[in-house]
Amino acid sequence: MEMKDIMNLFQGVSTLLSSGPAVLFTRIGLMLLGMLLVYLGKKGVLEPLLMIPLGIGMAAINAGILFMPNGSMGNLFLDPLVSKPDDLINILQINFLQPIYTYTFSNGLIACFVFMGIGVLLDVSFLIARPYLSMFLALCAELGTFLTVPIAMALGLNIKDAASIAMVGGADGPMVLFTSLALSKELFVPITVVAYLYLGLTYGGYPYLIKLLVPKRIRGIAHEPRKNVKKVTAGQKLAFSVVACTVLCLLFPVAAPLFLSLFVGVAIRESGLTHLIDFIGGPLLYGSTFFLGLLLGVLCDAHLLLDPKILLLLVLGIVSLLLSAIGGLIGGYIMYFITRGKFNPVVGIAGVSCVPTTAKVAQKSVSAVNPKALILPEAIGANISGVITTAIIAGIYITIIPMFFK
Amino acid sequence: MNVFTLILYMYAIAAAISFFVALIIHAIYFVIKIMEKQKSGKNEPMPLSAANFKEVQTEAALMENEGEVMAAIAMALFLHSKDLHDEETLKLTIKKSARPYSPWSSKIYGLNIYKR
Repeated sequence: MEMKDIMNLFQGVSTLLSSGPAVLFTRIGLMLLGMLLVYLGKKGVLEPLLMIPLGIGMAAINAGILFMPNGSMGNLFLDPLVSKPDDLINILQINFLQPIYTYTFSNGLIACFVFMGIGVLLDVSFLIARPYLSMFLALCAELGTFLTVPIAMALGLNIKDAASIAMVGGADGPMVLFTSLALSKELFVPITVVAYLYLGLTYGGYPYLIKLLVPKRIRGIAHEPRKNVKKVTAGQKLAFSVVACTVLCLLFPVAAPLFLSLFVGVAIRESGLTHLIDFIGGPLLYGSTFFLGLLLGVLCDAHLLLDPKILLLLVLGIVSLLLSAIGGLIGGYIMYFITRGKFNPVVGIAGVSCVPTTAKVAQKSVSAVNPKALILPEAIGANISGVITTAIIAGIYITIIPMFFK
Repeated sequence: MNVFTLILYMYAIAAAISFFVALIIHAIYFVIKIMEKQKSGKNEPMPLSAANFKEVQTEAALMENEGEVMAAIAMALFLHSKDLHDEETLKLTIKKSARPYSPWSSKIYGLNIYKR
């Protein structure tokens, strides 16, 4: 048996050796990164639900590359760049993840499924109890979503790509996927990967930012119990979901799938349809999250990630998330001064709409200083408002930007 | 249009819509609260009129005299509350009986009973 035959037998190794040094090292690096992500997911440093399938997918796609019949290198997972109908029909019968990618990922359906699941998990009573405060904090926590756009443009991105990467500041994965699909088709894969990688970091990174920006004395402020606690009924929550969905769809038809997905989840929860709640909050949400993670991992192909824009996207993604968190804390400080020191500014960071991670991070940071201080109701209110404001901003970007910049 | 101006406009639009949503939430809360109040108001008992006030007063007097009824209710409540217990011993033991008899091992109840 000749050396050539052996190399044909182990095509993963032969493709690795026959590619240039840049691809070789990137592939090996991504395989190791995939393993690291699985480890960090298992350890709880990053979100395990997403990171374990993502990591293993990343390692597998960079390992399992083979020579195709036409002599080029490829894989049997999926090809995100196929667009011609004939090629697509052929490839749908070969690549095992292609049907899921084509029918759920590239049209945003999987993002909508995740959003329905989020809707079912949301208890909007915290938002209904204090709507203005929650919306104010959420708007402040969108600072990164807006400020990153001019920064990205100054660094060489066009406005559509800049708006897509700026959406990372909203800290809402499905929203980033949806916006980048609508605005920058060429970059939507790396932008979504960057977004999901960073969303896992909010849990690990934000507590340090809180410690840095909020002194211990202020961090431990306990909110005074409210005299008139608003009792919110299921009917009120259902009415809110129906009216808000209709009004927002009327204002932004481009983002209507997102609004519908979110509010249909809320409506089902408040209608008490237990079978549907169990289905959407269980198999649909977790199934979609699993396939989203797996697809994102498989999309982290070395060739795709060797795009020079990736480094820029990585920097802009973290800038956007940081600015949003700072904006949220500024909002918290404004409320602190308005209430003359009775409001805990840490609540502001929960305006970053990573449900419910940022609310949990805020409560944990406060509890570490003052175990008796309970800020979770206000934090969850701001968190839910964050989801709504991010959806509104996605709608604004998708509607307004193509109007001015074609 | 300048990018900064556009960003500012978009932020203003986002803020306006967000507070509009908050206003909707506020309005819905109060409309439904008023509707529920009206609905529950219809189910409330009618206030006592002068005509039936005497009747109610007599009934209350009768109830006061019927001490046995009260005692019976108190006894029933006491027995009921004694029967409810929050804490269990959590000890699972098999009680030994004097005569270890069980119908499971009884030959009388067997399926195959042959005539002798």
